[in-house]
Amino acid sequence: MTSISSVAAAVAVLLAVGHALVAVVAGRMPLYWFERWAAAYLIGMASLSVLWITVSVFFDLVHPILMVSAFGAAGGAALYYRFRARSHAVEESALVEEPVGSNSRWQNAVLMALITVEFAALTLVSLRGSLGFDGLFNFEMKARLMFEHPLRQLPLGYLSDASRAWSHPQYPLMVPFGELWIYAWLGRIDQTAVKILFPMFFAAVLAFVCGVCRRLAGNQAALATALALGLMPPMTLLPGAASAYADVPLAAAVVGAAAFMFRALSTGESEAAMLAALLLAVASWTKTEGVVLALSIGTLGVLFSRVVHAYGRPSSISFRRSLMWIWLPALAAFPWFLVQLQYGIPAPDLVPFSVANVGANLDRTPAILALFAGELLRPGHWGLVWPACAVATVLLLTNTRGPAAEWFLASVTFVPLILYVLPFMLSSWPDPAEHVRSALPRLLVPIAPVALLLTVVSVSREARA
Amino acid sequence: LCVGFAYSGAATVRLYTEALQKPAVAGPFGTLDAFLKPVNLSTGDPLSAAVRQANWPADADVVVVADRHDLPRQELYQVYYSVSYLLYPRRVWLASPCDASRTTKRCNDVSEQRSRYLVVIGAAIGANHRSQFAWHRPITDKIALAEMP
Repeated sequence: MTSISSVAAAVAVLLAVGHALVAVVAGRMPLYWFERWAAAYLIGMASLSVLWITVSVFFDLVHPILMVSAFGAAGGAALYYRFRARSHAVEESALVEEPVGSNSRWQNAVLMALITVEFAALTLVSLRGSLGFDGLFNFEMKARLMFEHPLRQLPLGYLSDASRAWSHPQYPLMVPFGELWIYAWLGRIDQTAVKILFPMFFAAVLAFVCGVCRRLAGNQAALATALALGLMPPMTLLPGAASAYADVPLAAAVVGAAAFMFRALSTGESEAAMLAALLLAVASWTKTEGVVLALSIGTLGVLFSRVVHAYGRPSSISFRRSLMWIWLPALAAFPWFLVQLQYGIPAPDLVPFSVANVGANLDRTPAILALFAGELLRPGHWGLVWPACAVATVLLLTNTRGPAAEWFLASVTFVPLILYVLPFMLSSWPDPAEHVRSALPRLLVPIAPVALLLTVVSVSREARA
Repeated sequence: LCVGFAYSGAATVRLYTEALQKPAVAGPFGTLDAFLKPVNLSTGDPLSAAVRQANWPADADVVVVADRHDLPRQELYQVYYSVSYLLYPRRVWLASPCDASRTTKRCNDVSEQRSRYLVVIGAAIGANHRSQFAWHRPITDKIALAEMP
């Protein structure tokens, strides 16, 4: 096979497996095609990585691709189930609420063309440019170590290698696995070929945001929101999709989970709740802060499901079912946590968490908050999405009709922002301000799409009112 | 929002234009090769081959010794990480960037740590301190392998 067909086959198998799993989990749930494929991409990659690790002890007997292809065949069977199940599904169009504002065809066509140009430019820049610093040393390096290992595993010695602590051996492996998957199909290392994965993660972010916006605000608002997401340099360039960092993959998992939880809280659909739980598990397998984000978002979801229940909504998610928003991401993170406990070394960037250490650095708080404010308002960086999100939250505060599900989106945006102060209080960098400046844009990438989603949802509700 | 996105959109277009004006990075190790440019290496192969020829053991501790005047801090770390990438599974450490005048002490420290194997970055260190090395092999004018006695 040529390089292009090998990469295409790798991505196709990944999507097919993911699609089958999404069909099994949410076969009866009406989803737009782009939402279904976005979920398939993330869930396919995460599930294949778990399968890979599980069966890698047999890789000296059976070729990895053959073994994992067997799983693909099982996925095909599940696809059959999906097609059968969809015959019972509600028509997708039935879910689209009354569109807000004009929805003229030519305006939609122009927006669609602009999004296409934007995505083509991002893909071109990704493929032409180098991987970013962390993209190479934190993620691709792990993929290369796995590829060169006789059993295609991450060498355990690497996890305790203090001379490479800078490469964050404690980071979970979903992104390195995605790159390893490409290498396995190519039969060699190719730092150019793996770049194709990252515009696809960005497309997944667009798909999840657009799905909610299209349902609640119509096609035009959805397309305009997708266009706006591509105009934020931290989402596209650095630390965005072109840099091959794990922040955009994490953003895809986080905004997907938030979108499906929002839907589950609004409608009580248990399949949406299940998809959200799976995407939270993907988030906790993507990056260390993904574990914190997934557990925080899961906990918020459980709390808000109780609020919805208390208001007597018949379609609320049961407490027991909502708990999967916590236990599923925790379960996904637990084996890796055990491996780290046994073989890992502490992260070099932070001093151990303790009340004494936090107390000793309390004086950093004003400087950290000032840097936060500076980043959130940085001209040309975030497109004023944070001030707009603050206005949307004020609208929510002043409007008692604001549904609890919207409050959930607001909490998913603002609770992590508050939690993010803590790691910088524990920064071991000689200059903590430099640590904030370096890390904060990356930390904001996963929640910026949720902030934009909240803004669009709140504004469209106000417009309808 | 519209004003904000117009502003960040302009920034995006500018950044894309800048990115597209740079030469394309291609090849199996394209990014790593690009990261080694500050030491005048177009690929990592000569460094890997030199280490293989020198028979440095797989469990060796290798120390990157650098003259901070030769490379900016960012590029120094970029080269150090790239060397570490290439020399896996050997443990690779960075001796704190130091002035050429302090390098003798640094090299002594390295010797005390029983790290015989050095990757020397910077022309000055190679030229001024060659006599301290049991063995010294330039790869380019900016990077060399050396062994302490």
